[in-house]
Amino acid sequence: MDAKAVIPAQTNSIRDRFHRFFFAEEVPYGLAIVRMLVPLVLFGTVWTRWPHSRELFSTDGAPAPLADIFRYYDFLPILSGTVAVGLFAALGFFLICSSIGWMTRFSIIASVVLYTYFCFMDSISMATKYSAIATHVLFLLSLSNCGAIWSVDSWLKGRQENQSLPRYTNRELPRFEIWPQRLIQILIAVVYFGAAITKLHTPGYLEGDQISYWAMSRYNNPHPLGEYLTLYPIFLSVMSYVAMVWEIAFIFVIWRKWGRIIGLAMGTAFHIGTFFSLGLYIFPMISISIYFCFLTEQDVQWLSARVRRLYRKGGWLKQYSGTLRSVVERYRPQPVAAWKSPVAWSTGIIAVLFLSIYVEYQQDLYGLRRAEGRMTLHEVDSQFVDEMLAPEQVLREKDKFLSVDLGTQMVGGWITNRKSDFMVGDMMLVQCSLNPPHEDIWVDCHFCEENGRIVYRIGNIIPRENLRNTFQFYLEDILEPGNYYVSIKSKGKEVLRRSITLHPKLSAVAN
Amino acid sequence: MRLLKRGLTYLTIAGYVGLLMFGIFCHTFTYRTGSHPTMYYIVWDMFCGWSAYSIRTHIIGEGVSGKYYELSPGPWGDYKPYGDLGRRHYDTTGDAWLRMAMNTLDKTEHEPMLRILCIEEAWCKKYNLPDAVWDQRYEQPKDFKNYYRLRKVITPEGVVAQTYVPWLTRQRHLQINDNPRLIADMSRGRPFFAATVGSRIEYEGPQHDPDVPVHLASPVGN
Repeated sequence: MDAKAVIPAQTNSIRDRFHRFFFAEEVPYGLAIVRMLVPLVLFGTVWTRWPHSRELFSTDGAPAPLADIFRYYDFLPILSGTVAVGLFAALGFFLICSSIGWMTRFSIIASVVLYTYFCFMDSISMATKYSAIATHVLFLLSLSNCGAIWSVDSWLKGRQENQSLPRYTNRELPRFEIWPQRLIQILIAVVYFGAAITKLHTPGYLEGDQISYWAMSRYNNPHPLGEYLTLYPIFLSVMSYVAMVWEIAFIFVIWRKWGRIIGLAMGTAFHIGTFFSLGLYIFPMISISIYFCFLTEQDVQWLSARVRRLYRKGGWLKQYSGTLRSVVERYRPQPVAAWKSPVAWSTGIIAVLFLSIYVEYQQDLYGLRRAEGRMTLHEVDSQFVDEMLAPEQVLREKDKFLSVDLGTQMVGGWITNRKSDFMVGDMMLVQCSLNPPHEDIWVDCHFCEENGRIVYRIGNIIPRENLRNTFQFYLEDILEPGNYYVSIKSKGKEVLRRSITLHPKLSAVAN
Repeated sequence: MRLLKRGLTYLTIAGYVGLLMFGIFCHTFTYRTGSHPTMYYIVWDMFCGWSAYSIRTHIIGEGVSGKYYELSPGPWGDYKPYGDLGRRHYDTTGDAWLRMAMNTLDKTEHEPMLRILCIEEAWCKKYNLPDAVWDQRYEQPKDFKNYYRLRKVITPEGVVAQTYVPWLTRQRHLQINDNPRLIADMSRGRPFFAATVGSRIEYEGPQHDPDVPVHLASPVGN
């Protein structure tokens, strides 16, 4: 060890801190995990699209180039069907190779080029924000040495080194500058910051309306929790605030120990939450996968010390570990010439290309080579067509209204104790929610007896920019306990109704 | 060599961080966010807003016999990228409807077509709620109602003959126009003659008159 390494020569100047931030050397544990997970998740998306790749990406189908949306027509060439099918399968091969770390750098570069191209070819079902983030991550991985550990490349290299080194030599894991890892971390922080800016731009986000409508939509996978949470809009509103504050704060707190732990824990909870409440599957998987870039060498050392302690305590673990190690060593290839791995990899690509083209040809997506001839079109019921082509229908009044809720307590503009049982003397709140867009609208709110006789009647104009209006009714002592209902009317028609039961006021019991 | 490598590294870091910052700046101040396709990769607008209505797309072809045929999905099946919905429903701009329809016509056996119709279907999202949730929030049973709107008419040769604004835009226009004073001001402010070069005499708003049936000009309508 030389003197430079022993004597700390660095100061706390901005230059040194910058240098330490980007150019400190670490074993790339975090990047290796990101390398294993992100391509694997992307492979899942490629695998499910491959049978339709001719239709989605080629001139022999119906591609939807992303550039067309930006009015850049013919921005990238659209490939023929056979070439698109082959290259899309090759993309799958490259992603798998990236994940296992075989010819890592070449595989990742090929992945990022092909993945970006195919995302550009299908803006409808391939280009999403998770694919944009994944493209950035693949690009940054291609600049890193993420394949130096926990990869096929390092496995093959290890065998050669073991043979050249004397026995019992303690082989150290390679260390590299961490700037690619830092760039991924900055990317994540910037993405969250940008997402927060979007939320600030979005009207109705902080009130929870937007999330509520998203939870009601069926554009993503099933999300029963989200549908259930629409019953509690105040919860959605609070979570919207938390999410936005967290997204803005992330870039500032993530660089410190506890900030990192809290930021990542909240991020993981947030993404798992979107899985259950909004039906997003791939986005959380990508996001949580890239969180591993925050893993430091110290974290791994801490974790491995715990595992070693467990290992020493548990004999069974030691036994299984020994068995696993011997299996790995048994299957490790014999020392191979340096050229053999690239040749095998190239052969793999060629095999995948030809095999995929052959299989897809046999599948005959469009049925063009069927013995019975081409497929015929499905006829649409003429009654249904008449319904679709009928003169435009005016939006019903009841469809302009979302709901009516009754309660006595409001927080953040929402009724928090929704109920139908009230006591004489209560101040009853009636909250009427409207769907956007709606015109400036006069809404009548009637408090009626069970038989329909109106007891109280109030109304209000709800301007087009408002989505809610709250009416107040003081349930006076003169009201007879019993059943009543609240009726919301617009343009003379009842659009919503809620029944209530009025109970007598409880009087204090004398001792 | 080492110096060159270090220089390239600095350049990469500065370039990449600069690019991300440029994206944040553009997004924050809505500056040139749609100026180039690559902006999609640096503008992080993951939450653009969701409407209160579910929208679906129907692409049908009218044959010379008067029968109507489904042109998307094709008879070979649908690709569902993110759940239970077919790919066409995610095309919010409608840019790919033409390609989808022409691809199906190209690959199938069918009678000659008169026209291709792209129709939007909309309904209030509250009706999407499962019954268990609906019953807790509403006393009335679901009264589901669909609204349809013709969005595009395409010739069998693949030429877009007519285009109409989306159903939601149409609703917005109708609701803004639901103001007699505004309409009167608008009529008063519109010159009878084109006063300046390039100005329009007619109101540029939604044109599709609901009471007028869709007709195509010759030769498609023959």
